[in-house]
Amino acid sequence: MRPAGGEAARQAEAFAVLRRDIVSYLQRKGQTTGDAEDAVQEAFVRFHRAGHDLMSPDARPLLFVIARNIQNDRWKAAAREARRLVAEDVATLDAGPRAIASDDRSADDRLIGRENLAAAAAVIRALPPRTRDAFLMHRFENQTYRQIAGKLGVSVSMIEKYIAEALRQLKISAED
Amino acid sequence: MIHRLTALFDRRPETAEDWLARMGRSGVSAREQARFMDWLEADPANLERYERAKARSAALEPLRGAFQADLAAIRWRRQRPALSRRLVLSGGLVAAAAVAGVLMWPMMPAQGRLYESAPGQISDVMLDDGSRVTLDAGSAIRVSMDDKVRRVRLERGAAYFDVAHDAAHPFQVGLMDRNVIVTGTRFVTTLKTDTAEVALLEGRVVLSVHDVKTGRALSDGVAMTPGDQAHYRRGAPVVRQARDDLEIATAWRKRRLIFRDAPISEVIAAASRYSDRPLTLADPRLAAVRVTAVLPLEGEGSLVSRIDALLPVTVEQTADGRTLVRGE
Repeated sequence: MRPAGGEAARQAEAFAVLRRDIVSYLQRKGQTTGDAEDAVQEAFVRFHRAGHDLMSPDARPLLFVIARNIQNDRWKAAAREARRLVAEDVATLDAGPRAIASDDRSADDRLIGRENLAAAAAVIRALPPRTRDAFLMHRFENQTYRQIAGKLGVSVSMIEKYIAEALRQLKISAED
Repeated sequence: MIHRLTALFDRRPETAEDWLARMGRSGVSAREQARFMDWLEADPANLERYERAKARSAALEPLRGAFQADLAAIRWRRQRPALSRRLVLSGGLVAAAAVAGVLMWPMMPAQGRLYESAPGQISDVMLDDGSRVTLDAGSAIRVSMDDKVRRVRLERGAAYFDVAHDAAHPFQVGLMDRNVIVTGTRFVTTLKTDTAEVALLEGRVVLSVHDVKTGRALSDGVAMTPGDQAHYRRGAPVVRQARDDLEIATAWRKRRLIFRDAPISEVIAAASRYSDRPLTLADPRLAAVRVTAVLPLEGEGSLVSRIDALLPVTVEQTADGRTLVRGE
């Protein structure tokens, strides 16, 4: 089957490049090859569980930070284990490993209830017209900022400001 | 100085929402990515703030349907002035064409009857002349039959044609800037982002930039024989090659996908088009695992459960409705 081959090939290539770069990044930070590859594997799983997209511009920075957090936590856990073996210091166990944000987002975080969805829709409809139109075209029609800018007759950085403002309003309403 | 000026105009993002909006641009420079990473590392809570903002936006997905009317209103508000301009322009084109004695069908505004298949759904259509068309998922054709020519235009996606034989009324499929002209045959046409493909399974077709009514269509065109696949970009020459796997490459019309020694990543990408939930490849190793498989698109259970049973993968459903595919 060839229809989707191009996209799959691009994804596979993005995977390979990121994987290689992050493994060598962790190695530079003192990780053995096996441990680094292990941490990267886990980072990819957490990355996808958190709903990120490999082809998005934020993929690379996010994967680096997630992989590094995993590595730090493993080191802390190893150090704690070592201390425990020496002193049986139970108190330090209470601190626990620092939570990694992308690990196992709870379902309630993601699944917005019916009322909250209605509230979010009301927030979007109440935005200033251009902000609302820009956000709708971006979120539900996957239009690029440049396309939206052309249609609304404003600059690309203005579209970015509209999108940020819409996200801010959604955050405020979610936190109420 | 220049740096300070751009900093004034394009202020650096400060909050998770600012950064999410910045990362939504189609091109983000490596320097910008590095700044984003600095921000993520500046405060251990920033990663979580960013992911929360992203999850809030992802959670709006169920509202897609509810906003369709708003989006149509946006299109309508924008299109009204543009539409009248375009009509005047095409009126001019028709007048010029009439003078030159050339019909420019594929260039004219869309007319005729539209047949569409829903995303994820393959549909069969019987045309008025008895020809049968199978539309791939998310595809559309526009059909107009006059007393001389049976015309179809592939608007998007892919379509398989089993054309009823009728030498007196040529059958023509418009595909980007060319026409596939036939009298009775079986073939598949596919539109991709910037290329068009024609695969001929049986019979004979000619691929031409001219309409069949011009007379030059058949003499100037590229003739195809069964087993040929032709592909082209707009304005570029046709590339024709003989292939022995056309039945496999066009197996979607029989509601199955066939893969010969293909990477699992490719199988998942192809199957994803037919799944009601998006399939996400969550394991880089899968690009290296090759399989030979026949994957039925219809039948018992869901497509995802068939993939789970058939391929050496583990499938996990996430709370937000995505399906993650990993190696076993």
